[in-house]
Amino acid sequence: MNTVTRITRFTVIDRITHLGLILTFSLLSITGAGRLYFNTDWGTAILSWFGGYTSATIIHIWAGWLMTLGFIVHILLVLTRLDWRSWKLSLFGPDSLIPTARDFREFGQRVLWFFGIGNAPKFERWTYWEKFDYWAVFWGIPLLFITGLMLIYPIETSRFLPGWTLNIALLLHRAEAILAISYIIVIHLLVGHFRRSTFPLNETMFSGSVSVEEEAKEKADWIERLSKTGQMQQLKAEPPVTWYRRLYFVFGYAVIASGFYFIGAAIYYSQFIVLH
Amino acid sequence: MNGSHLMHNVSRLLLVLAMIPACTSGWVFASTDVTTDARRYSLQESSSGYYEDDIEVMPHKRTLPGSPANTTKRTGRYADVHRLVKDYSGKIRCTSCHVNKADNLHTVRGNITCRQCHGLDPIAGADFYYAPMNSIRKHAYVCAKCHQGATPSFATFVVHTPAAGDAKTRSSFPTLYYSHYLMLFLIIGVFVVFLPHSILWWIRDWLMNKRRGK
Ligand code: HEC
Ligand code: HEC
Ligand code: HEC
Repeated sequence: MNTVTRITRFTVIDRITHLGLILTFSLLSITGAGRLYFNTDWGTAILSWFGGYTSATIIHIWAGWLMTLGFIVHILLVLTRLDWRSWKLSLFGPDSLIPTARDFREFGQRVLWFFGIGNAPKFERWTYWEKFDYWAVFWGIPLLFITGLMLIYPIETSRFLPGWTLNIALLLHRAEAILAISYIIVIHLLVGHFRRSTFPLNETMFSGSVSVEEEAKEKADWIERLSKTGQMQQLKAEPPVTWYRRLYFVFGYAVIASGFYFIGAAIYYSQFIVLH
Repeated sequence: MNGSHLMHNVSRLLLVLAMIPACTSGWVFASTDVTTDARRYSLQESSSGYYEDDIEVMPHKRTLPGSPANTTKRTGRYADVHRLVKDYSGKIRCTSCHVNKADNLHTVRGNITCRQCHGLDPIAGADFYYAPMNSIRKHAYVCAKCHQGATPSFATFVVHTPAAGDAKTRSSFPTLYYSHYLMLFLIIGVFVVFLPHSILWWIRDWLMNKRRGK
């Protein structure tokens, strides 16, 4: 058996989806923050990049539509990937992102392992924190979409719902955005990239492939399943080419650096904010 | 029946058929705010609920569970709410007496003045029957000045939004209060789990790689 040293983890479409999410999410965060902090120096600076309060709002709305479009395309893609003849395995099997009892067990096991009790769980393809990341976004986008749509069309909304639901929509839209942004920057960026084993950059989502040797440490059960079923050969991948690697290093660090700046400024300026 | 007569009748029928969805759907944006009797009725229901004959006598009644209450006893039944206020003059800034009332989306973001909504002196209370702010006509006399097509339902939006986490809001606007705490606990919950989780993970990762000599 000839040895496979790298395998594909994310297809080109997965990576494009993720890139689209990064771009729309960043644009929405920045224009949204400009609106929320509009009475502070930071807010006015942001708004001036987008041509002022009104045009920042228009860009925010368009970015929101784009993100929703990406979400719909993603759902359609997922539906085509499901194998309907063996839907049970397809939905609850190891290649699925749907949480199962195993994830809760692994969470407990891993917390114990943090304190040096027992062994680290041998993860399958998706770990519980990866599933959490996925579902957080999965519910976040429709919530932001619906409440956002209500605020774009308040008059039309009030034909179907009482007008005071707009008060609720505004609150939910803001709270969910604050949760999503702080989670992404603090947990997703910091822990994803700045651990000793992933530093300086966790490249998987950009290169699309992982080294089998590395992955055998983190996701032992996945690698074992792949080599048992012989899928390893099909997933064989080449390492990323140098120019592409340079490109995503620059891009990744630009996003991470602006993310940290963003969260710092947001926390600092939150003392001057008016919540209305 | 000759041919042109028939055509005439057919085209008339088509026209009528085409008008049915337009009349019933409520999606006729360019018309008045009220398109059918059913809609007119439901919109009135959402603004109020108590009628004597055809006249609404008790505005601000709740309709859906969790609606903002607006039922507190107020001075608002009078044609001039400031009739008994000694030092009142139309020249004093409203916010020098109503300190917190400027904390609302319209004043803060829309640069709307109090008078653009509350009108010139005398300022009538919202429960005064003939007041523009009375919820029978607030949508048309106040909101629709800027929000074209504003309906009674739209006017149930609470302009002076109370502080969502305030204990008083629990009775005055329950849904806002509970949404606030729902989201707050969600945010706290996520970070209470994932922040220590990440820190511990980070430390373990560090130690493990150190042992491996990486
Ligand atoms: C001198 C202080 C003062 C100023 C200035 C003032 N108000 Fe008032 N306002 C009061 C007081 C006091 C009451 C309560 C009257 C009562 O209880 O009889 C009141 C009542 C009201 C109410 C009815 C409140 C209710 O509970 O129904 C409204 C509406 C109102 N004011 C709007 C305004 C607006 C708009 C302005 C600016 C144009 C303004 N007021 C300026 C003192 C003031
Ligand atoms: C966008 C329109 C709008 C603007 C601007 C506005 N108000 Fe109001 N105000 C309302 C509405 C609507 C009510 C609620 C009437 C009701 O109870 O039905 C209200 C109620 C009030 C009340 C009665 C107490 C209460 O909270 O129900 C006071 C006092 C008041 N406003 C003062 C002010 C002052 C002072 C300003 C300027 C800083 C102001 N308003 C600006 C629309 C407005
Ligand atoms: C003098 C003009 C004016 C009047 C009168 C007015 N509004 Fe507004 N309203 C605005 C402006 C301007 C904005 C946009 C504020 C912003 O920049 O977010 C707004 C925003 C809103 C929004 C938020 C919509 C969104 O998409 O974010 C609601 C809801 C609303 N108004 C309800 C009302 C109600 C209810 C009334 C009647 C009591 C009313 N308005 C009266 C000017 C007005």
